[in-house]
Amino acid sequence: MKTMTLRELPIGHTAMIDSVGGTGALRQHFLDMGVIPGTEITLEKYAPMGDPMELQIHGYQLTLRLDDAAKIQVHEVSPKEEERLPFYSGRRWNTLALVREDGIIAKRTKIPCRRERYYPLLLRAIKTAGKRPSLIN
Amino acid sequence: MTGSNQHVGNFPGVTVDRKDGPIRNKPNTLVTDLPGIYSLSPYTSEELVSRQFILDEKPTGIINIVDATNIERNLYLTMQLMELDVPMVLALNMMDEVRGNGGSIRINEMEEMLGIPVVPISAAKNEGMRELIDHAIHIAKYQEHPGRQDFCDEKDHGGAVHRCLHAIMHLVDDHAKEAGIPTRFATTKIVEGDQKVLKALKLSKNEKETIEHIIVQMEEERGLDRSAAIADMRFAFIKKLVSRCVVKPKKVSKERDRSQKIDKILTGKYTAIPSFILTMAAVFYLTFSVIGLYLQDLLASGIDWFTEATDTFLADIGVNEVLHSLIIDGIFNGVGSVLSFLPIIVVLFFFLSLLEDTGYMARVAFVMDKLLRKIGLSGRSIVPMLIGFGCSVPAVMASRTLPSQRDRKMTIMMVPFMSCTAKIPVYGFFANAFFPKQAGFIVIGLYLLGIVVGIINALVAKKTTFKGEAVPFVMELPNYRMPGVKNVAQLLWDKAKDFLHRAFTVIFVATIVIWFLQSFDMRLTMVEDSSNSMLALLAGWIAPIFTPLGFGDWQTTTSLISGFLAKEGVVSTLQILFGDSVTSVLAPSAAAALLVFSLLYAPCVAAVAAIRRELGRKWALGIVLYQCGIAWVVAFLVKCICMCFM
Repeated sequence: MKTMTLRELPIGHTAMIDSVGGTGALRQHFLDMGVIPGTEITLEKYAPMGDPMELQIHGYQLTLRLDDAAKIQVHEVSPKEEERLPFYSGRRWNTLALVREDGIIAKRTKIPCRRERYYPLLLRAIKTAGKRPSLIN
Repeated sequence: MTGSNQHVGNFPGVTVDRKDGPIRNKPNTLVTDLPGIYSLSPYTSEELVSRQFILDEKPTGIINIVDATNIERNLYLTMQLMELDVPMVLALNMMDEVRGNGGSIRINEMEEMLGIPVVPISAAKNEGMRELIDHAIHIAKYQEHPGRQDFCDEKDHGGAVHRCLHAIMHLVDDHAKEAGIPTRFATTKIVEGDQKVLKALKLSKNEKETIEHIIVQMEEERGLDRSAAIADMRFAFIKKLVSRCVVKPKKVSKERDRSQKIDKILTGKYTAIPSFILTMAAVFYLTFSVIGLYLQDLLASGIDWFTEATDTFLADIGVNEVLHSLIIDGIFNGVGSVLSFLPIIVVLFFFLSLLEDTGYMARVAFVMDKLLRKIGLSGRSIVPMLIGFGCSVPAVMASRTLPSQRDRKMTIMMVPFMSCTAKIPVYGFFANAFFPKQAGFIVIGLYLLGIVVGIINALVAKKTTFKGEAVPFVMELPNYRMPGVKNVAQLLWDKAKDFLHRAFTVIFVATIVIWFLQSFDMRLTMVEDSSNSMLALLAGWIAPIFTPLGFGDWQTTTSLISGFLAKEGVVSTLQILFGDSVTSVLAPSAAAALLVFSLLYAPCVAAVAAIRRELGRKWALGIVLYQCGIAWVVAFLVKCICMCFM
């Protein structure tokens, strides 16, 4: 678990808020907008001139200045499935695959994957299963 | 809601003042529209306005309209409002959007959990309004208080927050009743460290210490400091509520998706600023060269025709010469020339309100924040300043959305430097009369000059009077939305009405007064030559001040005085006093100086009144004198430069 300030969060990554700094109006403002410890927050992008940042929290878009973001301590949580595997962000196919857990053939299950090239069904299944074993757990 | 719809923008903080009106078809009702807010903390003035209204005027009920597409965030204020123990009905707005994305909300369960009636509505499609009104009247009539005010959970983290709140509630109960503040509200605000509430409760020193002790203990047990613990308590409840009552749409909502696509261009790294400049350029081009100009010509020819018709009519029936002069020279000339600028003002406001309602204004604030911070302002100040190009009065009022007094003062000082629409007649008239070939160039130059002087002014102010950093910029970026036709139309009608109202009151009176002063001498007999009139005498005293600028004659001075009543008045007065001979009286360099002076000198009476209301008498007077001084200096410089080149 890596702790850092919200300012250091890379674009597209999600973090959990650990503590909220600042004083007075600024702090109350943070809290009123839902920036409270234990909430997940995602950095979407920076403004064109690189200063305020656009974040997603509680399902809405929030902007903060970098200096203010530096007052918020966060730790990064593992990115969501889709962000971790941009490979799957396109059209999805369900494919039967053999999945290995600790080297043992554990179960036969369906995994989503996008067809990149036209492989025969079986070959594709093996390829995807080999590439992304961490998907099913 | 009230039939006399109020303006609703897609930008937090559009309504900054309360507005009253009865519900349509329901006499004996009074609905007060309060500013849109996020919380009841005492830091911004719109939050204070709403809070004071509810605490002091004790409304019989609250209609709490929240955006259902973003329910978690918006329920936060609902929690605080329920603590105020005023009968309340919760309206979930934009339910059509929620449903369209495949989500839904279990209304009955939500009602049960909150203990207040919940009505799904769609203001844009006018759904559920009748039900909402019925519920609102019901709760107000039978005084149905919220069934629940207690949002803390006994089991949450050992119930530290719960115990702390209840202990303090017992302590402050008597004091709160005496001060007329609901106990639960008072308690949470004390824990949050709200000084205003603490003062109002008049607690003894002993009690304060006990409370402090309880809070410190809670902080230790909970592991969070006081305000975070309270916010966390509220959001924990909301989370529970949402998980039970709200079926979230599986995928990203259509509106969000669309907003993201639009944002790629409008707030994109390389496209944001060009698209902002392009948008504003398009707005001003359309306003001043295409639509507005066409309508203006139409209206002006209509007014001319009417004036002539009246003129011949009055001559035919042979009315008194004085009366004839009053109607034609005074009223028709003065008011008419101002009136023909109505289309431009309406069109400009049409575009500005479009930008605001779609949600673009919030993006502009987002994009421009860094730039504005250089001159000591925050991105939010861009909104009042852009409105300032329309009219200084609403611009000064819009500055109320800014969260700090320092920003408010600085923004209000900047606003008058943005050329308002009332100055357009002045620019148009002089540019066409003196520099017909470069008229467009001159007008654009004046706009830019205003902005430049404003920026220099802000930079100086930042270094001297207003040291320190701009306020925090913590703001929501709403999804883009189609503006409602009714909404925009309503705003336009309001602006047109407002302008007409001013044209027929302030400007009407001003033209009559000036006509009177210039047509009569001190013995109240009508004069043939206006240089013998009272006005000439009065203005003659002030005029020498303007001699270095090249227009030290009494006529110009008079027109500047009437321009203080309303900027459009500069042109109308000059027209009354000079007739068509302006070009022969003033040298081009003097005309340039006059243009610059009328750009920069004190804002009109209405704007000064607005400033006075926002900042107080001292500030208003200060700004008037300060701007007159700046105007004189800059106009003098411009004159010198002109003299060198011409």
